[in-house]
Amino acid sequence: MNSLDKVRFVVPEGANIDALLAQRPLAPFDPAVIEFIERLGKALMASPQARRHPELVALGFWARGANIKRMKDRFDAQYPDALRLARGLAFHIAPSNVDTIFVYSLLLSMLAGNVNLVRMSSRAAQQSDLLNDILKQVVEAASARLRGIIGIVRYEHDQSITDAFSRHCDVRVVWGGDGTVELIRKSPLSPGGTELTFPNKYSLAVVDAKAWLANENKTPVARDFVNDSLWFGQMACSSPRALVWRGSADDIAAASTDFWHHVEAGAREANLGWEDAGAVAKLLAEQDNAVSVHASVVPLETNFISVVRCPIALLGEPNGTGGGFFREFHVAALEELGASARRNWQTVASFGVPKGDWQAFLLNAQPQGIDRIVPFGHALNFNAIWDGIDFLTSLTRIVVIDAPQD
Amino acid sequence: MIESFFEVPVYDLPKAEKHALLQAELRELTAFHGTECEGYRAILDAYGPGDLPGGADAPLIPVSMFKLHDLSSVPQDQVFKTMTSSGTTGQRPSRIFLDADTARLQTRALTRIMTSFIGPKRLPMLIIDHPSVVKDRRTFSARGAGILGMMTFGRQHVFALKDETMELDWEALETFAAANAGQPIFAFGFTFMVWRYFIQQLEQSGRKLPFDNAILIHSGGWKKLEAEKVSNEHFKQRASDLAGFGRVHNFYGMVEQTGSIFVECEAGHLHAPVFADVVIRRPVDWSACDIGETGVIQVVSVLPRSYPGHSLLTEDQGTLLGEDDCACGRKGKYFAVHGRLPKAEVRGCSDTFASNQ
Repeated sequence: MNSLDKVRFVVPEGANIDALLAQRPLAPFDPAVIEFIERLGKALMASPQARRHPELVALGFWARGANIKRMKDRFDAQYPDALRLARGLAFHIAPSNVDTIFVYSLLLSMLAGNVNLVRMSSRAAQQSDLLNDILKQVVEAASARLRGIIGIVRYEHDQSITDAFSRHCDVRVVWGGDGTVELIRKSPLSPGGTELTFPNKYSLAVVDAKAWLANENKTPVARDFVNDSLWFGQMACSSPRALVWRGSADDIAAASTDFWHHVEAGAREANLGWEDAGAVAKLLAEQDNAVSVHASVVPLETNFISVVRCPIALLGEPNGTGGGFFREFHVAALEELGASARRNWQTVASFGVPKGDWQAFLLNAQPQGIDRIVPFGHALNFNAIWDGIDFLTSLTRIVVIDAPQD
Repeated sequence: MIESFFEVPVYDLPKAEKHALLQAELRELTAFHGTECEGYRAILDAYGPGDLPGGADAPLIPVSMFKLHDLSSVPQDQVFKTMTSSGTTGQRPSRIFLDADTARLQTRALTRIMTSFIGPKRLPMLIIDHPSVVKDRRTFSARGAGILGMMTFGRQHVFALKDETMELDWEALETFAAANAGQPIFAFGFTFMVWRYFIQQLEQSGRKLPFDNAILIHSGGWKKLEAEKVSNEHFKQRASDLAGFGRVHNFYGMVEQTGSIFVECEAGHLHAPVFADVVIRRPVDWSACDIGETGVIQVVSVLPRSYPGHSLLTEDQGTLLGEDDCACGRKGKYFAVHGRLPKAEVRGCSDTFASNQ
């Protein structure tokens, strides 16, 4: 294990790899872990710098006791006749870009009782440094037993190290998109090892035209859509980048113009991360779509958002512009989405489409993708069921005990 | 009528007359390209006449459209030269299709502009680059094409740099200096290369070149020099002290609008020639900025006939300083360029060498 000498511990200080690998897991929802998560949440809420980053505020809010209690109740109710134990060692590959989501997976893995080895990227955005600092403080203040189940490390890309950790771990959690997943997959797991991967994802919004026209409270709905789509420069995996109208041609024609004017006003008011270069990029994307697929441009007063109406054939194609650039599509019924839905579709931010319609569509059309359907305003909220995976189930094992009571 | 632009002085048309002349021509070009270029027509149709960004006379086309699509308004057999931008590695360069007519207009316009600064007589010329950038004439990189275009305004061409090592070719320089000591000469190069490989190498060598009232024309952006805290004034001072360049003119131009360049006057301002204009645009809604207000630079030119490049939105920031009232006496709009919009992709002529180092 010579190459492991190149592994540098970031948190906790003075830890070493051999001790971490020798550590025994905890029982799921160990009180020490619950306390640790609550402390982390409070530290985030108390930090004036962290409060400037909404995703850190959201993490702090998620980490409160009541929420953990809810997760524990659900966890306990799931398999009343079995005992659930940690898998053992979880090896996490954190993404290099803006992402607090992997921290949720680390915390959930701790709740599952696993020992956690986290590889941090060498390049990290500013708010993740802030998060690291707060995480570090809370870890260093925790008990030795709790410190023992966390190891956050950095190492330059070196396959022999990733090989060793992959062979050793019981579950590997890979963030960072298609490229990282592909790279990490070159390192085999042990025969019994399992893996959770988080490849690139694409998200959209679906709106019922009649429901929009009938809605008497348009401004807050539009503001929710702005928050869903414009945070993180529209580049988060859950940011809607396309909007599909469901309805008759007449209803859609009336609803679309009205909707986008409300969104434009909301975007102007929210002013989330305006960039001059982004306006040029959106103009370029409008014209690129015009030339490529004869898209038409929705007339708007300003460049806070930009919308092109596209033929449905383009729905499956990714739109990588960001910064408030939307492709709009029209369907008469949800079924028409089935043919376009791609495996990488994650979130559908939905307005005015009843749950029953979604259930019928998913069952009948069997679309390849779509992991979650959420109301406007919830696209970026993390949930312990993510990308079709229930973390606490995947990060634990279920032990069947079929034995007499005494 | 394009010919009317060559019948008037290049920097002397009062604004009312210029606007009328320009507007009519641009309107005609928009209609022409809308008929002849399928891609351009798709863009016009996408917005509809009432909602075109930048207005219906000359709607804004982002320069990068020429990287994403081949936009041509002439049949392929009439394309006699394809210009490409120097673009960064891994990125598709712009492709600009020239027919004989457009290429000729570019040359004529550039001649009008250049002779108004360097005079009608061709001077001995020093090219501040190395000869191999113009060797392969089939592939016109922006750098090579820029140099070839400028070479027509000089004679007895000498390249100041030896080869890709960017070392000064002292042998060539000494012969050239001996023949032209105390004389005005004409030199051209890209801004960063002039500074790094000419002025700074001269400085290090402790030697000076003996020209007098010589003219240096340079182009290619200040980004790298700004990073090195080199101001335009300092640049001019060093060029004058070390080589006798009494007249130093930067210019702003791009491969997408070759010919109608914006040359810096004696007062340090970039000027629109009669063939071209600038509009500074507010990024929030593309409305036109007032004098003194910074925005995104739109450049218009009456020269592009074979491709729809007559009205382009650049990725550069600039400020309109005034119109018809510059201290240098030239009429037309004058402005300043502040470099690339932050975060936009990197492009430009003279970035290629240093960024590959």
